[in-house]
Amino acid sequence: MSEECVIAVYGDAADARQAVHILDRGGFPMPQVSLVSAGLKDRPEVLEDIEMGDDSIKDAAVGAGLGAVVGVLAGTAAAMVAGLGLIFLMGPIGGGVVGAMTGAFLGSLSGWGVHAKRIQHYEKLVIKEGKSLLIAHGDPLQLNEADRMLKETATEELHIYAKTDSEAPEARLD
Amino acid sequence: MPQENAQVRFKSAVGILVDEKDRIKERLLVAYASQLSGVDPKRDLPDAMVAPFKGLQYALSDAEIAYGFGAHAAKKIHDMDENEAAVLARGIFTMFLQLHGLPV
Repeated sequence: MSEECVIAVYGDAADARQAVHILDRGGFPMPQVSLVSAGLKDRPEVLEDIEMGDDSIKDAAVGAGLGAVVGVLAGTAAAMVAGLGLIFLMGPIGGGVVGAMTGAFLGSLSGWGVHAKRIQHYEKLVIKEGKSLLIAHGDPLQLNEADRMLKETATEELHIYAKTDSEAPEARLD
Repeated sequence: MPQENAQVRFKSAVGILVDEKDRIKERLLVAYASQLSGVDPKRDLPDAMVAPFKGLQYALSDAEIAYGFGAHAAKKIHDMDENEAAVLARGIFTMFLQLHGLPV
């Protein structure tokens, strides 16, 4: 698995979905993109290309190296956008199962160089504030391209994370 | 070849402007963010196109210019009207033609 990622925060789920589309048109591999978003159920126009299905969600989770998350996904209101690595549709903010699912997924970000405190920050943004996260992982060249594209979108925060061997805080490139 | 990078990107940008389903402003954002933001005018474009492209870049995204009050494409395009977006889209098409040696 690639060890770096870029994370973009969006206040509006439609902006996050547009950013995914921009990455797609820019040639960034969609299996390396994940979207964690609240309130998509209230945005039918955003859901137009979403395929519902537990099996596809599990396959995507396993494919994304998030096997530990699969057990949490069963029975939740989650779905996968065709071509994306993983997407979560969240129910009521802070709901028990959904909160655990999001926490498990975001916890896996440490494998991509995201420090624990930053993960807590993102959990708060998604679960408490209803923000959407776009997470793209890959090699440094791919991430520089993703960063270039995402800088032009309506992102509220944008950070690149690189896993290092030291115990130092995450490398922050912005 | 540097110019090939620009040709490919402009071709893709024009394709986006033509075949995306959204309104012109959304298509312009996708075209710029996904493709044209990757063009380095001094490296990738003929000398005669550097200034017009920089003008296009300035209109669409000037956050990287060091005067402190620029904005990225999503904000700038959101704030412009449809006519202005259409003019910029036509500018992209014109540059595409010029890059490929086609009559403007």
